[in-house]
Order: sequence, then structure tokens, then C-alpha cells
Amino acid sequence: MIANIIENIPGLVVLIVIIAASLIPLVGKSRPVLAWGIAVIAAFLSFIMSLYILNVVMTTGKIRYWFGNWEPPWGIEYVFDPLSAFVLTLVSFVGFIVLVYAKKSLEAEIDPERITYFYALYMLFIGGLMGVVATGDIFNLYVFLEIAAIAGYALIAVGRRREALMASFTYLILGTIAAAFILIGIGYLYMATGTLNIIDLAVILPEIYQSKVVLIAFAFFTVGLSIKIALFPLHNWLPNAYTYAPSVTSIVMAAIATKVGAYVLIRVMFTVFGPEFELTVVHVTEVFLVLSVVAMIIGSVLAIAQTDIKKMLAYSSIAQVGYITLGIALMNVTGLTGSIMHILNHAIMKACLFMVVGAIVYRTGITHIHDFVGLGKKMPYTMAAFTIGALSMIGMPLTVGFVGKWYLTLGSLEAGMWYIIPVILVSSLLAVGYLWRLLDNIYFKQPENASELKTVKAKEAPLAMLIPTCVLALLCIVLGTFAYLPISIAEEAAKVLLRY
Amino acid sequence: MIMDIALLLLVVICAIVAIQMKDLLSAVIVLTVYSLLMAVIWFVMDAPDVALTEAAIGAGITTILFIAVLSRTRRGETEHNTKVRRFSPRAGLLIVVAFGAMLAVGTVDMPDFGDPHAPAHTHLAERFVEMGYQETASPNLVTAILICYRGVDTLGEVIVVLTAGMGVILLLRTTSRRKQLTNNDGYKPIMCSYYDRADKTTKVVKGEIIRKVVARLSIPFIQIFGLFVIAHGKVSPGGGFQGGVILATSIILFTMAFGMEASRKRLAQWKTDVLNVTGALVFLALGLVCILFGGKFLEYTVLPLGCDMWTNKIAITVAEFAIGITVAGIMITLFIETAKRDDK
Amino acid sequence: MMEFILGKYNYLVCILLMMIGFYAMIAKENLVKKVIGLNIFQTAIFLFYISVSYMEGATAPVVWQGQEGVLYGNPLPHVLILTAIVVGISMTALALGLIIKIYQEYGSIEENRILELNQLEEEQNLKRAGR
Repeated sequence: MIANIIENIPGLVVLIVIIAASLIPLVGKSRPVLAWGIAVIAAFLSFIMSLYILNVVMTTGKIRYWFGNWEPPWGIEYVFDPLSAFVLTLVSFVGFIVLVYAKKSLEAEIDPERITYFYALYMLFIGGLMGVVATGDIFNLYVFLEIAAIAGYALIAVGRRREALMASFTYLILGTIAAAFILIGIGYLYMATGTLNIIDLAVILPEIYQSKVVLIAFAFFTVGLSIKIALFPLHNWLPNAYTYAPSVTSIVMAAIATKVGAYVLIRVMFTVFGPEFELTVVHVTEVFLVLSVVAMIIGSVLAIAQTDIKKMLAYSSIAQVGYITLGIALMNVTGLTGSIMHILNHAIMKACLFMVVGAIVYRTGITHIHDFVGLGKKMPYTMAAFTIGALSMIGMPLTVGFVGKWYLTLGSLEAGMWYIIPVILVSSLLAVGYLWRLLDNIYFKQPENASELKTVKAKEAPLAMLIPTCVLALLCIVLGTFAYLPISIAEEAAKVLLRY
Repeated sequence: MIMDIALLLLVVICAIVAIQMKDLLSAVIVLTVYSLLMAVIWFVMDAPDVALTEAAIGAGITTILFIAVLSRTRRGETEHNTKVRRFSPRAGLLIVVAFGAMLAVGTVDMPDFGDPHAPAHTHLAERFVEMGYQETASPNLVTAILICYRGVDTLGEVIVVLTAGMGVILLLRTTSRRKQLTNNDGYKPIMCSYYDRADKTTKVVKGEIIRKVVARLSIPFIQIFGLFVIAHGKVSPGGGFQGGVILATSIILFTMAFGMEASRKRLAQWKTDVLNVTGALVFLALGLVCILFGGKFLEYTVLPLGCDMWTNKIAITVAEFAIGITVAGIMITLFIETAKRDDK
Repeated sequence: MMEFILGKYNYLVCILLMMIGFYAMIAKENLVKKVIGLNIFQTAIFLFYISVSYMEGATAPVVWQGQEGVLYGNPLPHVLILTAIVVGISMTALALGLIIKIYQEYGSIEENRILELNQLEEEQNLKRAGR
């Protein structure tokens, strides 16, 4: 019996989150605390299971779990290779730790009667993203992508200000266009190959690389996914969505929603179509290279222009997505390793930064950076976590941000594209620019008029919020200092993807 | 073929009219015609299951939701000359033409329409058609794939509906209300809050008796038909989704005839809330029971219910009813949350 | 050329419908119109899938017991589209729920009017803060 359950862990890791989501409205109807309890337990179990899966994958290799024991390609299977196990662990970890943080933050930001359903949708959002990462069937991927997307729209729309509604609607329209493009891509692929299983597709496609149907399918996949990851110039939905959403939604969206999009992009480009296709048939890497470079610069410049901290972090996300796609465009193991490391870095560091913003909102209600004067003294631990997250975003050595950028730099050299390096440097310097302005306000600036100070009543964030924030800040350092473990997984994943 | 082309032409006309109409109610009605024509086309193309679903969901529920929304917002499309302009129509046209051109390029290498030797028919589909009945005991191959081979997709589908239902509840069900804004676009408010009017017993509205009698007479038949469609999903076109929607329409009809309050008295809010998740939980439990009996998730044949054929039949029926419950619950919830009045 | 059109007319009509829906989604200012466009767009994709599944001379994929040699249509795209229709109504329902909320908050369902209101509010906030 126990052995049988262990055998089913690859399926249960996603299902348990969905089961929790379905139970929450029943159990937590009048008591949001119960809803929170179920959510935390399920997310924690799911995280443990994903660690187990990661361990098994790294020691014994790929796991394939056949649902209903129907052999693929006829049935649907979950496939775990190093990349999907890695991203799955990341998603379930962030999902769990944000949930710990969410309790206090939601009590302050959401109507009490809405909290139960918020948790249910939160779990569906996480479950949808995990299903996307785990699945080995391209249509199943679409279905779970939509679960996450619909839950995401609702989670954004309950923000405190009315702008949240319009931000959510804009995201809904663009997200639906993206999903429709992906659906068209799936239809074209099915028409050309007759299959939906990713592994099966990878076998069949090389024979028909020259078919225009396949070419157009690829184009629609990439454009659709570029909208989902907010790659410049398709990033319009992102800043408002992150800014006006409740803090908890901002954290979890910024940390993992775009990362899972990037995962799907990598999966489609390297596993479904194969690196051969990009190198010999479509030459899409140049396009990605240019867009990445532009996104890295423009995103940072726009971030400098912002005075609202959430909007600033949102624009910096657009720049960070540029780093991830840069690694994809380099098409070598080092670059791709850098890209995967940057997924890790951005998930942890952005979650940490947005958590700090949530804590500031919880204590003072301000988001305008000019109002932050004096926060350094009032909330020392929270601000220390912020500083570490900021350093990781800049890419200081000994933080996890450095590892990603280092591998991207090496990858550019390996690909003979030395001119990428100054771009990485400039983008990092721009990041120093906007983050310094914040840190200067927080720590050094003296208030001109003490009575107008908006941070007078601020005090340290409650422990339930502070601990998750500090754990993430510590992880930024630990994973950056002892980078061996994540790098070995990322490198293994990159090798599998590039078929070495 | 002439028939096909005529239908397709009609659909295109409907689509253009639907997006060009200034009066949104008319646009929605044209959209309904579009959906119904689509259902006819799919029926002609041998896809009765999909046609039934589109008729019930695309032409049915969607229209009701649209009209409910229009009655709570406004009916006309008005032009605003503002400095904020996100997107000029000309740029939109350019993008759309590029989009269409790309898709059209893809058709060059496509197999001809209706070609039986196309790759789509020769790889996966062959086994489904040849072995589907033996392996799942469901003569309707669509149901066989839906519940058995691709059961997780269907579970995901139930979860999608559940997500939407919860999302709408999260958005619209709240006690703290803001002031109501009045319509000022020159159109009369639609149906003058139709669903409320039935509540006011003092003022007899013309045709009210007919409405109530017709509703009373037809609701039992609609519900029996819904249950039939669910239970018969494995033998004939239909199944949990279509049947669930049909069940929901009976409640919607009741609400239209007797008013929101009467409907809520019969089917309280907590009941639909429970229905919403019950179906999903039953489906999940069905999968988990298979794990307890030593199989994989949703591997029905491990259940000790006699021979494989019976096990499959029972499991499919349970799954269909689970789907039906959630779909019916959510569709009722969606209708009530969108159509209810804000203030009295 | 004629042969091409006769062989592929169904796909071409799908593409035309997708273009119409897509256009309404990006170029119309009215939010309800955008959702109408969304519906047209999605249904057009469904029509494409069903066209892919269509086979000359086949019958609906419901097995007739005791009959041999019947050519059945391809059931797989039907299954996918059943799923996709349900995804479509979910998306529509949520979008419509949002529209109701937007109308309650802004008193308008025209995108440019709402964006203008947002902009005005932002300017006022800045003025009030004295920056």
C-alpha cells in the first residue's frame, strides 16, 4: 500500500494541490483559518514530494508516470527530467512559502468574506502551474495553463484599487490571445504529426522539419509564449497587473508565473522541436537575441523612471525576462545553464523583494518610494532582507544572482558573442541605479520635515511575514555561496535539453 | 459541398455583423446565431458530441451570461474621443492581416480537407477507433477517450470550470457594495431588470402566466433529459458536460419565470456552493480509489467490480455524473452571480 | 489556384473567422465587444480542429455493434474541442464578471474612457501629494 502510494507520487504531487483547492470552499466556508491550514499542509506535502522526485530524477534518471496506465502517446503521462523536476520543486517551494506569508497580508488587504475563495484560487493557480511543468502531453499543458491563467486573472482583480480590475481585464485579453495562439500551434502540430505527446512529437518532427505547417506551428508557439512571459515588446500587460494586484498575488505571479512560461518556452524549443530545428530551419535565435538585449536595457531604463515600488519591480521583471531568453538564444550548454539559474534566481529574489513590499504595505500602506525615508531604522530586518534581494538582482558575487549572470557571460563568450557582455554590464548598472535610489531613501536620507514622515508608526513586520522573507533572503546567499548543487542540476538539465 | 460553403459563408457574415453592430444586445443575438450555425456545421462534419456541447454552452449559457451582463451595464457601444488611445484600428488591421497571412502560408503544406490518409487520422486515432470499444466498453469513442485514455484532461477541464466559478464568486459575491451607476447612453435598459420583475407579484406583467405555466410544464422534462444525456454518454453523443448544462438550464428557466428570490428559496446558495466542488471531489476520489487498489490514478480496471467491462461501465458512469454535478452547479452559480441585482 | 482553394476552403474560412475575432479583441474599445471577439476567435479555432478531424465518407465515432467495415471519423479532435469549449466558457464567464465590476467602479465599458479616468486619477494623486 505504502509502496503503491510512493509509486504514485509523480501524479499526486500535482493532484494534492488540486484536491486541497476543491476542499477549501467546503471546509473553510466560515473559517478562513481552516482554509489556510489545508492549503499550507497540501502545499508543504507537495513540496516534499517534489523534493523526492527531484532526488529520484537526479539519481536514477527520467520518471514517466502514465495516468490510468494507458501507454503514451495514447494516454497522458507526466514526465520528469532534470529541468521539470527542478522547476517543479521551485514552484512548489515558492507556493508553500508564500502561503505561510499570505495569512497576515490577506487579512489586511482582502475583504474577510473573500479570503476563503482567495485561498482556493491560489491553490488552483499553483496546481495549474505545477501541472504545466509536470505534463508530457501538449494539450494537457494547454488545459493546465488555462487553469493557472483563469485563477491568476481572478487573483489580480481583487486588488484594493479599482485599477486592478482593468489590469486584470487587459491581462485576460492578452493572455487569451496567447492561449489561442498556443491552441493554434497545437492544432497545426497535431495536423502535421497526428500526435500530442511531447516525446512522440520529438521523434516525428525531425522528418518533417521542412513542412510549412510545422514552421507556422513553431511561430505561433513562440509568439504565444512570449506574451505569457512578457518578453519585450509584448510586455504591456505586466506592469499594471503586478502593481495593482494584492501583495500576495504580486509575489506569486512575479516569482513563478513568468518562470513557468519560460519553462514552457524552453520545453517547446528544445524538447518538442529540438535544437536542430532552431539552428537549421528557422534561425529564430537571432530574433530572440535582439529582443532579449532590448528587453534588458529598456526594462531597466523604464524601472528607473518609476516612483511606485511595485511598478519599479514590475519593470525590472521585464528586464530579468530578457536575461532568461538571452540564455535560450545562446544555444549552448553554458548559456542555457545560466538561463535556468536565472529562473531560480529571479523566482527567489523577486519573491523576497515583493514580500518586503507586502510587509511595508501591511505596516504603513505606502508604495511611493519617496515616502520610504526612515524605514531602515523602523524595520531593520525586513530592510536587510530587501538589501540582500537587491544585491542578488544586481548580481553581486556570493549571491545567486551572480551565478546566473556569470554563466550567461561565459555562454556569450563561448558562442563568440563578446558584445553581449557590455549589455549585461550596462543592464546591471542600470539596476544599481534604481535600487540605489531606493536604498538611499530607506537608509540614508534624512527627513526634511519629521512631522510629514509617513513611516513614523511603522514597526518591524510580524513574524509570520518576516520569517518567509528572511528565509528567501538567506536562500539568495546560500544558493549563491554553495552554488554547486543548483548548478549541477541546471547543467544536467541543459545537457539533456541540448541532447549532448 | 454547396451546402457546406453556404453555411460557412453565413457564419462569416454573422461574425462580421456581430463585431460591427453598435447595439450590443443585437450583437450578442447575432453571436448566438453564429454559435448555433457552428453547431450545425459540426454536426454535418460528424462531430455530434461537439455540436451538442456548442449548442448548449456556446449558444445557450454564453448568451444568457452576455444578456445578464448587458442588463447590468449598458446596451450601446459609444464612441469616446479621448487622448488616451491604446491601439489604432489601422494598426490592429495590420496585425490581423499579418496574422492571417501567416496562417494561410501554413495551409500550403496541409493535407486536403477530408483526406482520410492525413497524418492526423493515421497515428493515434487508429488505435482509438480500432481498440477503443474493446478497451473501454464505451461505444461512443469520444466518451472513451474523454474519460479513459485522456481522463486527466477531463479532470483538468472540470477544474477549469471550477476555477471560473470560484473566480466569479470571488469577484462578484461581496456585501460591501458601491453606489449604482445609471445608464445614460440613450438606450433603454434591457428587459428592465427582467429577473426582478417576476418577483413583484403586485404588478401583473403581461404574459407572466404563460411564462410560469410553460416553465412549470417543461422543467421536469428538461431535467429528465439532462440526466438522460449524462447517463447515456457512453452509448450516444452527450455526457457530463452537455447534461450538466442542460440540468443547469432548467434552474435558469425557473429563475427567469419565478424570479431570483423564489429560485434561491428552492436552491439555496450554500447548496450550489457544495454542488460546485462535489463533482470535482468525486472525480478525484474515483482516481484516488484506483491508487488504493494498487493501480495508477484513474486506472479503473483495478477496481473490484467484476469483469473489466462492467468496471469500466460503472467507472465511466460515475465520472460522467461527477462532471455533470460540477458543471451544473457552476453554470447555475455563474448565472446567478452575474444576473443578480446589486441593490434593492 | 482553384484546386488549392477547393481542397482547403474549410481551413481558409477558419483563418478568416480567426482574423475577425482577433481584430475585435485588439481593435475594439468596447469591453463587451472584445469578449464577443474572444468567442468568435475561439470558436474559429474549434472549427479548425473539427475540420482536421473530418474524413470523407466517414460516420460519427459511435461504434455500431455488429456492423463491420464502417469507417469512423477521428474522435480525438472532438475530445480536445469538448475540453476547449469548456475552457472558452470559463474564460468568457470570468471576463463578463470583470466587466460587471468595471462598470460598477467606472460607469463605463469603453476601454479608452476607463484608461482616461485612470490617468486623471493618477494626475490628481500626484497633485495632492505635491510632487
